[in-house]
Amino acid sequence: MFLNIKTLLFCAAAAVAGTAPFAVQANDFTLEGKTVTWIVGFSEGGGTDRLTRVLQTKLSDHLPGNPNVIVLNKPGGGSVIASNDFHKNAPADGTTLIMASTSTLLPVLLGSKVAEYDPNEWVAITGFARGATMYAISDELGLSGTDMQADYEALKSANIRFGTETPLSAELLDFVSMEMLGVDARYVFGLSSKDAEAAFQRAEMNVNTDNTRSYLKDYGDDPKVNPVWSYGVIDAAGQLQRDPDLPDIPTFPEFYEAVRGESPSGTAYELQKSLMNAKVMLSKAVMLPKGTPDHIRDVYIKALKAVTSEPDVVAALPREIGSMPLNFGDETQRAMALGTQMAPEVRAWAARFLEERFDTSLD
Amino acid sequence: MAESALLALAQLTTTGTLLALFTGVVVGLIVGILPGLGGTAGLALLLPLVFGMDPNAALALMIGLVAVTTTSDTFPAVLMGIPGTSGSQATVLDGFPMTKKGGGTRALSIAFVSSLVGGVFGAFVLSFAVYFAQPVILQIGFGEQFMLVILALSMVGILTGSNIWKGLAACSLGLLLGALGSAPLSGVQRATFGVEYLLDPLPLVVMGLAMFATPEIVDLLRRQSSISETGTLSATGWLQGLKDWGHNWWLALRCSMIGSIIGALPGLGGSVVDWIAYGHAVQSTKNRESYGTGDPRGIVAPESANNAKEGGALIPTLLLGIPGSGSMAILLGGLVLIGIEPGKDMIDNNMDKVYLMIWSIAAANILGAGICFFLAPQIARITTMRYVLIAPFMIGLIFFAAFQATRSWGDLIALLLLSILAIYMKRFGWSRPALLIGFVLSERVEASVYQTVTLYGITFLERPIVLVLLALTLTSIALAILFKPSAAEAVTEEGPHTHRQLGPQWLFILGVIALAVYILVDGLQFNRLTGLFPMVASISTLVFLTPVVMTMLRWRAPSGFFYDHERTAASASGRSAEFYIGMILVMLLVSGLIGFVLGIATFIAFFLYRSAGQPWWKSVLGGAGFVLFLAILSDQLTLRYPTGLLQMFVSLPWPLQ
Repeated sequence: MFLNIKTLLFCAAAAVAGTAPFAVQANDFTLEGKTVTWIVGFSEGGGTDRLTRVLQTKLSDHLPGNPNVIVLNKPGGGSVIASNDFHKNAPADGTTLIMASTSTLLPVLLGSKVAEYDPNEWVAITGFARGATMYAISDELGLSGTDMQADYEALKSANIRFGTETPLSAELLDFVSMEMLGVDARYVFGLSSKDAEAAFQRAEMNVNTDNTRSYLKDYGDDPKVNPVWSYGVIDAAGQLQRDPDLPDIPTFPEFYEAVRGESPSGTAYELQKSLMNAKVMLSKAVMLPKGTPDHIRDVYIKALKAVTSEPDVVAALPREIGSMPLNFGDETQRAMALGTQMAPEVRAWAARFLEERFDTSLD
Repeated sequence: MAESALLALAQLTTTGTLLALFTGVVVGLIVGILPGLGGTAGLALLLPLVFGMDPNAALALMIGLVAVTTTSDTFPAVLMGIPGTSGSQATVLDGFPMTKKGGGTRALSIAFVSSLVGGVFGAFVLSFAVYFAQPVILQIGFGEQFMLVILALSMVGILTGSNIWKGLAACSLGLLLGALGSAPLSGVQRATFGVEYLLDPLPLVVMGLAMFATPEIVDLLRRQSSISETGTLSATGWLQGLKDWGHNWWLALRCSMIGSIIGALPGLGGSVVDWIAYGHAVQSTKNRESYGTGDPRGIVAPESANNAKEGGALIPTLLLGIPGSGSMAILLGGLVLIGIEPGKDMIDNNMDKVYLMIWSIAAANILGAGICFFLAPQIARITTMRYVLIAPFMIGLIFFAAFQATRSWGDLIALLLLSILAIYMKRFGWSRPALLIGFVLSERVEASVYQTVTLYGITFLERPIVLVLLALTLTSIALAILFKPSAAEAVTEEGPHTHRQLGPQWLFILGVIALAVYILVDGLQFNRLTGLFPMVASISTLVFLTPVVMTMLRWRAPSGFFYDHERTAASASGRSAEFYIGMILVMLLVSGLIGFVLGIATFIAFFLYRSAGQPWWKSVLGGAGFVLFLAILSDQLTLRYPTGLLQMFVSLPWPLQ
């Protein structure tokens, strides 16, 4: 209800903005002599911070007036604290932007009380999609990688050990996917992705989830470790495609269809799709504060398109996020809406699932 | 091996690479000396520069920076008692007392030579470890990590202070404070008191500043002397320091070894290294009474270990691509940016890059320690100044440092509240190192117990390394009991151990009990994943407090259980600790109105004028000087400062925002 009203308002505002004649021409807008503060809700050195700093080096060159661009780290609550502050206080004049990430969207999607912001009200500039995959130690689980049906039976009978952060983290995508397939696992919580990765290297865990880029770097040429499925990528037409970095690996719906004989559907799949949007399609997103006028948005979209075409950045991006296409403006805004909203019956399903499976309340 | 090593040496000794290394070292020394900033902040600043640089130069630049921050963070720790990074907390324990006895230069000298040797030792270990460490690291599973945490926790046994029960209660209180905020196993918010700041656990740097820096500042203000109680500085201190190190070279090597091993292993993290080394030093000596009063061994141990740790932490970073510490995480990011992918591939094909890093660590440590040696006698002079003249700047500095933790007002408020706790812990004889060890290990204790039990049940005890660690832990506890120092001071009617006037001690203990009970009750509403650990920590706090409370109720003679420092000390300034707490509170309130930059400047000027009796123009100049200092940092390090109500209505020019 709450979300719906906000969305409605947002749509109304967008409609008004769309029909109104441009009061200010884009080329009048300048940031000369100003300082642009780019907020990162995480500590220095994390993936979000690194990507921001790569882009920061070139952003000034492509903004009108070549302002000074600084990155400001305000860690806390997995970016919730910075996002709350950004939502309430950031001026909509193009001098403040935020680098959102999956962790920014998840609390909103799950309706957490601590998140006092709605990223759908923010103005999207660019979204960075980053492929994700679930992989396993093949021979320990008895996976061949060639016969999906046989692999499925093996998964169902295997003793799966899966290390993750918390029941309410981005790995919920993997939990829900496994639940849809009726695959059970022993979950071990309290492990950051780095810790889970280390435990997987020690073979204390035999299943792990990570972004495609990290998977390929660490295990790309290791015959013992192979993806079970990838989460794919949504193309401009809204269709799910295979991960460009894992062209031979089935997406989760493909795997599901192959082993269950029907394509996935129902409330659980709705939740799975929302989580996929939050985790894959908006792994990182550059956003302006709510109420930022369109001409400023357009300036930034143009600048980010230019920045992400700089040879240095083009060379660095695959190392940071992989080779998925970027999305801009309205496309990012749509993914944002999908990744942050849940219909009441989907929410009810999620709450029941978390309660029964993990003794964890969604509220 | 030799070929790659020589090739790497040739790469390092080109002008461009050497210049990069030198720049890295200088930036590293600067961010290290500034409390609250460290390798992570420094590397983040360099990342945009590194991007697109020649890989060799970029490597030297980044390594140079990371390698020396734990060298220069010794300045504030030793000279002012301000642990600006988590790596310098244990150094304060003996370094600062030595400074107070006039041995500032000597303490620095010990620290720098320890850092130098420790750092070079770490590089040396790394150069071999790259060939064989991988299988060893992969043996350290959840069970082994759990035992490592327990071994570290057992160090509390020798740092409990004069009363073991109060020491154990302090450690439990540390575990408890570490459990506030988001639960590591479930992500659920617990014991947050409804405060947004507590969504995350309290930052370690804030805790360290509160425990060690504030109580000393207040103490020194009350004594009205200079930091060096004699007001002098030994001219031959640096030579004496070298000799001290020479006498303890074996301890230095052992602690360097400990540092590089702990740095390399998963599970403990870098922030406990210096405490383990310090604990080891105390354990391995019979005459322990001098620890905490300026014992050179108390400086040698942590300083050797925390520089050796960086070489150790590079081992998993390079071999497995899994960072061994916070600054390693960002270094890893930097490596990826310049196109170097750590992991097996790098060991096989890019060995010259690995050796370039090793040489850089060694060279940076020598260069960094050399620069620090050169600067030490000058900087140490600060300890002979009248403390009232420096105190307001120190207060500004610790709040600046705390604010770097999460850049929110919560950091400042947390520092004030925890400082109040620490001031009374000091007054009533509660061990602050014990609290800090509990705090540092809190999350690891919670997570590793749960993970080990979930995966292995009791069978983790069948693993050989677990058994070795168990034996080490039992030895450590046995040593703590066997060599317990005989009662150092007599408990008399007149001294601090008197049974009269227990009122203040009652108030303090009741406060701790109230906190424990609150968190116990708060824990009841959650499931086991969220609530169990804080409940266990609260209950153990209450259990350890029971003998203390019973003694206070029943005993009617002086006792080691009673301690009130106020019974001995006379305040030279005629002011109470509460007066100075109130003063800091007012400073924060004023900052809340007009922002931190203006608030602290006003405070400094007012303090210099009223308390230090300086002429008004000098006082104003002092306040303005600090604004200039903050402005330069803001500009160079892209920092912003806490704003007040004023900034909400008026847009002020930089840097007053």
